[in-house]
Amino acid sequence: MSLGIMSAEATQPWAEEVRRARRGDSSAFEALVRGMQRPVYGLCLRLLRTEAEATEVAQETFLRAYQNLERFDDSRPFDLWVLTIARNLCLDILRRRQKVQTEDVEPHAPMLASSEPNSEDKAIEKQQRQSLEEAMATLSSDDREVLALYYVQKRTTKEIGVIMGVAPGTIMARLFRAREKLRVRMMAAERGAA
Amino acid sequence: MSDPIHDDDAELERLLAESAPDEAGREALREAHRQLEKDLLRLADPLPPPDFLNKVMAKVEAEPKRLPASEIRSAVFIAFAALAASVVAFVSSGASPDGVAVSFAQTFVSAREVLVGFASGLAAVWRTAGLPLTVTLAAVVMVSLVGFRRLMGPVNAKAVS
Repeated sequence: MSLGIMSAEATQPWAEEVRRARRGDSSAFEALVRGMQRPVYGLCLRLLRTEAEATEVAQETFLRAYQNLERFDDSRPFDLWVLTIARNLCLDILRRRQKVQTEDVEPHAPMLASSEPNSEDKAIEKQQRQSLEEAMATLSSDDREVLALYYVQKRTTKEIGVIMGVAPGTIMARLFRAREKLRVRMMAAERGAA
Repeated sequence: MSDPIHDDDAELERLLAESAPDEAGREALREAHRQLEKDLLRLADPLPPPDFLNKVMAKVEAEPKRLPASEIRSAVFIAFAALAASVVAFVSSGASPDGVAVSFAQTFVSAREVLVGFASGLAAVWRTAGLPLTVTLAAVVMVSLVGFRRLMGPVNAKAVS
């Protein structure tokens, strides 16, 4: 019994912070936000493509997580739970956008900076990354999401399956199709530029 | 992270076959995807705005404090235990429901006497030491308010003040 508990704790990196946050320790919740803010904001920005909305939704995500902390199942990874909240909030907004048939928003690609330092030596690489971001921004939200979770956030197919609520076995096919669409878009963009 | 090109070869081959009919085409496509994966892996999540964390924590602090479920369970348990103990004490003392009604009525009669006595006592104290009484009462109220404010925390205290 205790071994089971110990192994469950060992596999959940946020377990201690979650426990403390539940007891009302706001510094523990702050640590959770600090650790998760970048992937949550990144996912929101890739899905919604506007900084203001992404910021708003990412903040709302953490507030919902805080409000529902008691309901969180300790046996599940906290980061996947928070990303699922963020995803659901983003999908709500995307659905609302479709309903009101708004004009498509400007792609966010220029705002997405790399984590690497800016230097002249890497100017070409930076340009390539920007082209890739721009091409990615033209994909559907489903394709952007699966690419972002797998390649940018380095999530496993199993984790992506949990976040997206689909069987992990379907993720590889989704990834392939998203990559293929991206490849075609990039080739078209290169041809257009030439 | 696992390499999707090699992770699920059978699935990939099936997908490649859907996209390219001949082996040369499949190989070219496989290579293109491999290159694309390399580029994709270099992408990084953007940093949120600098004030992001502070704004989230401000919203969290503004949330009303909730008692943990364990404390609520304890409170309910204590309430039920106290109720059960009083019922047991009542039954074991041999009291009947009629007796309870009489005792209840007597409580009101004696409470009136207690109140009258308390009021006359207070009036006597007021006549003999009005100022010290006022100061003491004011001090008690102030200390209680300060303690209450501290218990509530700064944000909630602002909301009630």
